[in-house]
Amino acid sequence: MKYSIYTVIFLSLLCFSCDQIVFEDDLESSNAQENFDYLWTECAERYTFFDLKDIDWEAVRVKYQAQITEGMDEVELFSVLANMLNELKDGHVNLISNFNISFFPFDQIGQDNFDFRIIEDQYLPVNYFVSGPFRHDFIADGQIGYIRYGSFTGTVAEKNIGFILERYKDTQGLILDLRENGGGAVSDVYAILRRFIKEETIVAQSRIKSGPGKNDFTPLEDAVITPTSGVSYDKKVMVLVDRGTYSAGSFFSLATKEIPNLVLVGDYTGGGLGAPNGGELPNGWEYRFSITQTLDLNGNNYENGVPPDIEAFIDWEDRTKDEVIERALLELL
Amino acid sequence: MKKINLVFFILLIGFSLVAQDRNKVSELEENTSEEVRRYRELGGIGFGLISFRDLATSPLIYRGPALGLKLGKTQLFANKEYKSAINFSIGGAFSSVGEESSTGIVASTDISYSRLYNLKSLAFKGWDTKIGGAIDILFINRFNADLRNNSVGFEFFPTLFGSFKVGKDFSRHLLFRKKIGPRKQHFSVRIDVGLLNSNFRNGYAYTAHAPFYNGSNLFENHQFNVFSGIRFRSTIDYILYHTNTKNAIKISYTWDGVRSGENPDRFALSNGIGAFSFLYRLDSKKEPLLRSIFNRKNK
Repeated sequence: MKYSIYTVIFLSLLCFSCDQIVFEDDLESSNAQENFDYLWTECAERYTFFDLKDIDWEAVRVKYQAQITEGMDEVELFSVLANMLNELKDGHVNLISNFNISFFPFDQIGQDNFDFRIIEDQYLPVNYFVSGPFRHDFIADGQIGYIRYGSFTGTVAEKNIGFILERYKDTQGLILDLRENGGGAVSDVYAILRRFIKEETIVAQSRIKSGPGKNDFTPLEDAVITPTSGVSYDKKVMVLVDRGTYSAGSFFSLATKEIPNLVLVGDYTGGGLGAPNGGELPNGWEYRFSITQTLDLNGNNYENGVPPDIEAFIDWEDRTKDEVIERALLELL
Repeated sequence: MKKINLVFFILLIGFSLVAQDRNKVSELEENTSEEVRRYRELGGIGFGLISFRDLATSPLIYRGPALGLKLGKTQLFANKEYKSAINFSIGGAFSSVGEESSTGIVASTDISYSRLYNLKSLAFKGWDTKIGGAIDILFINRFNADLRNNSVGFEFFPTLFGSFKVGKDFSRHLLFRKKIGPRKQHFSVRIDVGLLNSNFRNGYAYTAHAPFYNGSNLFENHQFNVFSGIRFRSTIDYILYHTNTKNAIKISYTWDGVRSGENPDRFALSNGIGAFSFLYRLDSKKEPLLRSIFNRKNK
């Protein structure tokens, strides 16, 4: 009888004691060195632009390792890790804690090239239209439609973009203003661009990290846009961009290069063509950095900014006009 | 990889053929068996603790309460038992380090079919012993907004289990209901050990790539890994039979642990659910459930 009881007790205990086998070591840690090593290694194995940006990540390790000390507090550790990440010069790189979020100011590389107040004061009527994420109305005596799109919200739909293109179908051209558009949902890029093409169009190529080596990537995948069956627009569209046009905004800008009636006007975009991941450190802080590459059809990587077709900059001495819009109007009228 | 897949399928087909063969033998034995019982496990509900860690996104272990739901069918013969089951659980899991905390939701759906056969040579002191196997697929969904583009995770784990079970029927008065006579009860402990472990899970970069290039295959970078990881499941069941209907109630505790291999990054999940279920005897020669309740009220 004893034998049977012991056997059953033993088997029962097995039911409650196996978490250790499954999870092995608990990796949670507030230790500065462990968190530094974890973050550095994650970037080393997964970040995608070391070669393009000519970054010696091993040298970066040596530089910031020297700043890790045993008694450092979490604010000091955050500062070291954030500075290390900013060596990547990438707006898609952040370190996030309860008390601070690090960022790289990609939009401050070039001059400020946008102020919506000038457009409201000098170009748009007082009660301009707001359709979903778009603010828009006629400008230049009703000859041009101006559309401000400030963020890729993921809410572009037939009811707003369809309405807008129907409203401006008799204009001589459109201005689509993406300046200081920091990006968002890539799905909006496709939802908008499909209104400006007549046939299926490959606009870019994309690949993602497939291993820890610097050049371990999946094969390139074509980014294909199919034309809409709804309202479309086939006249000239001037797409206004600046250094604040980032991520999905840059991807949109890159795609315009393959669509003949779309022209990029303004400054270089901020870049950010690599999609970011998301993860946590052993101390619970979060991070993200780029893990894909997007190339044009010739294999060029514009991670540092998509060049405009026509350069134009605002003259801040004169706030009665927006020189970028003026340059676009010159092309359209 | 193709070779590994081939081996997997050969083993799977081999297992099913052996299982079918055993079934023929058992059917002959069924004719002479004293008792054949079939139960449907209805509306089993339970609570427990779910824990997971996905090293592709975080080194932290998330733990939290889980709700479990069970459905199944069990066929008990004198010398064997078949069981098919669907177990679903969903839990809110948390990680906390110092002032930093994060919340995730994890849901698992486990579909399994098993066959166990009596092993008389291992029977002892009234305990019967069964061995056999199970085919099982565990689907896991995870959501954690803090992980941004990695906020959604999906993986599944097909497993071929080797199974071992000891159980004992006994008849005893219930603690506070001695007037109604002894009730038939059953206690068992079952261990399932993954013999062929595989998984389908995110690739190296983890993030779904397709949305960025307007692709439709969200699992494009997922990988199917065979002979990868471990899986272990243990179950304690206590069954109390109704005297007249032979229907039963079951109180069970199931601990299910799974861990993928290290390539590309290790995922681990454990799920312990204590549950209460009603076992409805499908082939009862006694009164069916509803009639028995109705009759009892009229008495």
